[in-house]
Amino acid sequence: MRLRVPACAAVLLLLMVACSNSESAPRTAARGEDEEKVAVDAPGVTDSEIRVGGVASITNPLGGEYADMFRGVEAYFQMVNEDGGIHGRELTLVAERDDKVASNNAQVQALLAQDDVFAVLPVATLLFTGADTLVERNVPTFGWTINPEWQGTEEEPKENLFGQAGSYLCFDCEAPIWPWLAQEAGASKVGVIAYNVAQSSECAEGIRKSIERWGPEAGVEVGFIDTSLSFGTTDLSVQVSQMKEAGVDFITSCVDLQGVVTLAKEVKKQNLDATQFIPNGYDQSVVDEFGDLFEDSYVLTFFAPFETEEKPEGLQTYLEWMERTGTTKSENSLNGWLNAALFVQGLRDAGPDFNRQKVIDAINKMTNWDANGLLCGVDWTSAHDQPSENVCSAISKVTDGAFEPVFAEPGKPFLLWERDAPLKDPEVVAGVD
Amino acid sequence: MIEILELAVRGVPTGCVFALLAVGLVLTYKTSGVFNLAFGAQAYVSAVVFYEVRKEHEWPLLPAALLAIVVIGPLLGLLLDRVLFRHLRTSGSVAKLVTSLGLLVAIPELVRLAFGSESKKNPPPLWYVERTDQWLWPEGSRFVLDAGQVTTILATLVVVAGLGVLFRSTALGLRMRAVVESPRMVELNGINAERVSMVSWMLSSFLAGLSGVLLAPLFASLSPFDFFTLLVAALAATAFGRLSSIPLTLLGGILLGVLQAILAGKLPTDSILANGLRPALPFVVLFALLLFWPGLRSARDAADPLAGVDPPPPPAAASIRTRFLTVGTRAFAVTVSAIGLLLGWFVLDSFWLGLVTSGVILGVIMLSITVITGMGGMISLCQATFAAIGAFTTARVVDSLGMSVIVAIFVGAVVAAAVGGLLALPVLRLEGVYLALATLAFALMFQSVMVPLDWVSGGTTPLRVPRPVIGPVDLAENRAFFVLAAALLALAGALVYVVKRGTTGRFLDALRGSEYAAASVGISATRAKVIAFSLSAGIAGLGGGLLACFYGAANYDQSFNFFYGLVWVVLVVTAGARSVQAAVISGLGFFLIPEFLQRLFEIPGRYVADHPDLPAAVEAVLRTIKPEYSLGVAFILFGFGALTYAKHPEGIIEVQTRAALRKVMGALDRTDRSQPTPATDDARPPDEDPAAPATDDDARRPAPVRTGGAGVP
Amino acid sequence: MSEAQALLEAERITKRFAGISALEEVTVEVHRGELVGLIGPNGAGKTTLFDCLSGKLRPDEGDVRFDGRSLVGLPVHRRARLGLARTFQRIELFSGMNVRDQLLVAERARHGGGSFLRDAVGLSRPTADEIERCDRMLDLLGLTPDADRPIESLSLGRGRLVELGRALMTEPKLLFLDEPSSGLDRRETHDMGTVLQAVQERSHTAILLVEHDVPMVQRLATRLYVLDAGHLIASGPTREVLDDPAVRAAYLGVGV
Repeated sequence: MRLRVPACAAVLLLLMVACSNSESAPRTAARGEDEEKVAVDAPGVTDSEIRVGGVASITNPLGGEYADMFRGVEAYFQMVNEDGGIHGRELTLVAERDDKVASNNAQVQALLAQDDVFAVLPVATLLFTGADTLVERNVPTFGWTINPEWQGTEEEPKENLFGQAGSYLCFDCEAPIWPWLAQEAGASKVGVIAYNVAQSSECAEGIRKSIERWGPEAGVEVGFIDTSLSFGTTDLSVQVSQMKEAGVDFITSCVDLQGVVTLAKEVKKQNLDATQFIPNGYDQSVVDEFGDLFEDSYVLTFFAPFETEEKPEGLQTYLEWMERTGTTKSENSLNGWLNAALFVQGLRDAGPDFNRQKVIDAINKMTNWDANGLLCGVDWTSAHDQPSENVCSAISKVTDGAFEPVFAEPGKPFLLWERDAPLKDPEVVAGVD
Repeated sequence: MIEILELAVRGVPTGCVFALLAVGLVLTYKTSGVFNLAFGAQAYVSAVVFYEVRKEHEWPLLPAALLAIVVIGPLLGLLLDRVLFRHLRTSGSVAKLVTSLGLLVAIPELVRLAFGSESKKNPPPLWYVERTDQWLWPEGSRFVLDAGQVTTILATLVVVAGLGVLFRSTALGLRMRAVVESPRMVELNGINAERVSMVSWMLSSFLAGLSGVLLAPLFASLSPFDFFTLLVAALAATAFGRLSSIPLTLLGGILLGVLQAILAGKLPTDSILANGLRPALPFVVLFALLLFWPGLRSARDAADPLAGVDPPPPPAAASIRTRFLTVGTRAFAVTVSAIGLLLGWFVLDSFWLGLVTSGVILGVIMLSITVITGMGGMISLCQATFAAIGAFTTARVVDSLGMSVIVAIFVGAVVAAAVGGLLALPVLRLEGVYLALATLAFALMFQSVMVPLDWVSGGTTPLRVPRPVIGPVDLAENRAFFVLAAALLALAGALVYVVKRGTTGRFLDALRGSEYAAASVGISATRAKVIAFSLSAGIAGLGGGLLACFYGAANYDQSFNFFYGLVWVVLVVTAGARSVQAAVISGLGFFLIPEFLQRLFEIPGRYVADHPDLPAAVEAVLRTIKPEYSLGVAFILFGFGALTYAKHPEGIIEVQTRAALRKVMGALDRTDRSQPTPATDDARPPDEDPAAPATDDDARRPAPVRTGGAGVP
Repeated sequence: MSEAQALLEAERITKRFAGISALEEVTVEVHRGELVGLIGPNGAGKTTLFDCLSGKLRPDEGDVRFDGRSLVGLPVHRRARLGLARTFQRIELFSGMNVRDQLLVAERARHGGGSFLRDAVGLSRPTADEIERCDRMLDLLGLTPDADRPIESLSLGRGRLVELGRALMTEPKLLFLDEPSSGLDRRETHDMGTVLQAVQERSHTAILLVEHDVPMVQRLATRLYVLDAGHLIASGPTREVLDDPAVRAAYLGVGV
């Protein structure tokens, strides 16, 4: 279905970054199966298998390869099953439903009513209208958090919905990352563009607030901001000429690929000398396609970039299994992989007499879920409904048409800021400890 | 002042983009009488072909461009003319518009089936570079143009000049214009209207192909929706050109681009004004032009002076029924509904129940189209917007006043009806295509101005709408809600039915038959149409509120995007805009058909999986059928359904009803030959057998009674 | 209001289309109960005059007074409710309705009637009184056998009668008839004339009749206006006007 605004999904991805959570926690349970099998009375669980199913906007107007999330889940399951499964059972992905953007709620109903699943994963959907049903039925659910429905509140904690790196979405949260990066790039005036679509303009508002808060310490200010672009605009000539006039030397945006490409082309045309920060630009296929347009731009990831030196164990395993299963390494397949990893960890922690509630509880006890170093660390005791205390992300730079992690150290891909502190250089870490 | 000038210059390249598309639209309208909203979809076809051969198969520029623009474009036009528009030449503008909406829905899905749905990033420019920005001119200057802009500007100018020569100085151009005025007259003069129409379509499709290939590099990846978005923005330019003047259209496009640039530069960038006005500018301009641009309003839909020589349309199935059959059909409808209710309550699982409930609620919204189009004879493209207004109001009223949800849904309906009435007052002076465009502009304005506002839609988080509790019944239970939805559908259906049979319906019938004649017996067209508009908006609002309540939130993107409004019109008109059951069926079909297709398309895959020893060739064929195609195929079916509208303006359901009735009556005739009733005598459709109704003893000529539509000389 | 005052006074009506004059200072009067003829060659402006009088077109100059009040600026349906009805040269019936319904709609519209609320509660079915009035009209016009037939199945002659009946249902004080015999054969034309006479005698409706058929005009009209190229070239008692050589030259031509 030709929907307009869901395209902003891509925009939202970047917001996760500033919101994922962290605190220290010991690593639980090791791989390998030697536990005894106990009879379990839970939906979707038989003697030999644990059934899960997922829903994605496979048919979508953006050309997004969301079906890759299924491949990530499948690869992780294959890994676990080859290792003997879990609690004496195999993990099977029994349903890959396509909600075609508009029928999410119906497909979620189908997963529960027809596919008889124990848990729902992955969910990679542009509109998550089935969230209420899943909360009501208390089904452990794992997916890609670009929809506001993932987020819990005090009245409605939504404790069974788990994003790939926390469930709290904060569209206009402040984070020191913008002023800091501008300062690092030797810039003093920041230009920001966004669509007049709620998510996009709130994101721009967050950037503006961040720069107003920490900018003075870094000698950085907002030189130009436009949050009134119509979605999918094809012409930014006026905006870029105004940026040029205002002396903007660092540009960031809350727009989709269309906006980012149009902006980069116009910057090049008007010969504006500015560093571009494309928070949601970590996509090799985009860089392959547009090559020099994004050279020297910065991108942001909430996970350890694939190019990290001295890769953490979790990343190594992921890359290895992507190769073994012939799956593209991409953010989509990684999300599926992370969903599966969290689910399996929850199952393990829940013990051999697991059920849905026990899995949910087990995950919500984790205070530092990092998927073996793939993530910076998520504190699931608070990641449903609160922003994290820290801001933890990795930054890469496009160099010779490839992503190169920057500001990182071997084995330490992440940059860690305290959210509520004066601006200072981040700590370079392997994860929150 | 200098600054304004600079901004104006910056607006020109985008203005040319608008102009190119608008000129294509005007050309099609001028030469075929079709306001072709599928022009963008046609452009998309050539853009995809060019992408495939140039990028995937690495053809050289020239052959690739020739194939995409000079071969595929006109070929598509030829096909459209042969299969569709040739047969529509003498139809009214509404039939033509609905057909183009059907194409708009179907073409992109066909392309997706043919070329795959992977994203097509970085479409190649019509130039010897890989990306438009790799060739700049004059490099380093203040107003630098890239390869895409240069080709677009040049092409626009050449096209406008070429068309000017064509229409002014060639016999072909003259004939093209004549064919639109009156195809029959032209034929009487010995001109082959079919050939002229064919050439027109090939020419305008060539232009669509050219636009597609030229404009594709504006987008980071190819999507039909982007072309459509650009096209609706360009509509304002066509209105500026009064849908007839190509030079004025060019000027309109450029002015629009310039105005956009000036507003972008002069309005404070994050002010409320900028937020509302800038994205909505093309639609505000379109709306204003439709209402106030002199010359446009008086440019009534061209009526063929010889249209009256056509045989009259067959009467509605209802009017050829005998009493016995009427009772029979009603009993049948009641039985089917009862079975449906029981199925819903006892048999369906939560998945199918959810879909059926959605379909039932959509049936309510579809009834609003029955009112406006079936009864009122008007095409409105903003029914999804009225539904959204109902949904947002419901959510807001529940949230801030703590009102009962059921009451709130009706408040939403009333607010939607009020908005509908207010919108009706200015737009009712418009007819046919112009009214459709004005309502489309309204839908787009609502989408780009109101929907982003926090207090309207809730901003990033859709507004919640709780399920109501009625006495002891908690409607959080899906089966209970299904019954509520069915009850409200029955209520809305009954309302539409009695209004249709009542004074308002009769007056609207009369107005549809002949507006002047209706006025001459004292019927106020304005009053009747405002009522129709309000009632329609109110019913849509009711459905919208109910849908929001069912889904738990008023989610604009999921349920009320303006594009749905277009698809719904196509569906209802295809099924039959005049009958209540057609509205219900199309509501259900919208949700159920894709799911049925999905089930169907899963079969080959499962068969392959179960039979590993299949011959490779069979397996390969079976594997080409994928469940992902279901939605696309459903949309293709919906779209192609609309194409039958030309032949059966009364709708598929009605045609089927009539065919079935004929069979039944034929059977009755045979069994009851001994005692023919006068009723069956009257019931014989007159178009079948003009000599049959022999109540009149006069030797009669073929009935040349002129009815319907367009005005008197 | 004195009896001497004309029912309709159209004074110095002028209408131009794109600068070309279709009517030039045309003045017409119709008195109560009178049947007046309006003749003229094709393109003389007869239909344009009807359109100006009934409100479809807005004259560029001139005043139309009806029953003592000015009609300037009133839309068609308001004039209809004041008692102005008309038929059409190119017949304009409501498609998809049967014959009786055509009349019922007109009956209902007579008082501008119809409340949406009554519709919504299903109270707007035709009343027995309305149906009776319609049936009487059908009877008068000899349309009773056709009452339930869709109008698409009627012959042109019958269609014209239905149009006449529809106009009469509004109980007009003045009826404009635009070439009621056009397209009819001799017998049908004669029948139409008879019906018109009956109607006029029965209801004393004033009629302004545009007609090509000279015998019919002679038979029915007491007075005559002659229009040629937008100008009124003659007016007066029927016989006198028809004998006027200027009229014969302009309109009737040689041999009539």
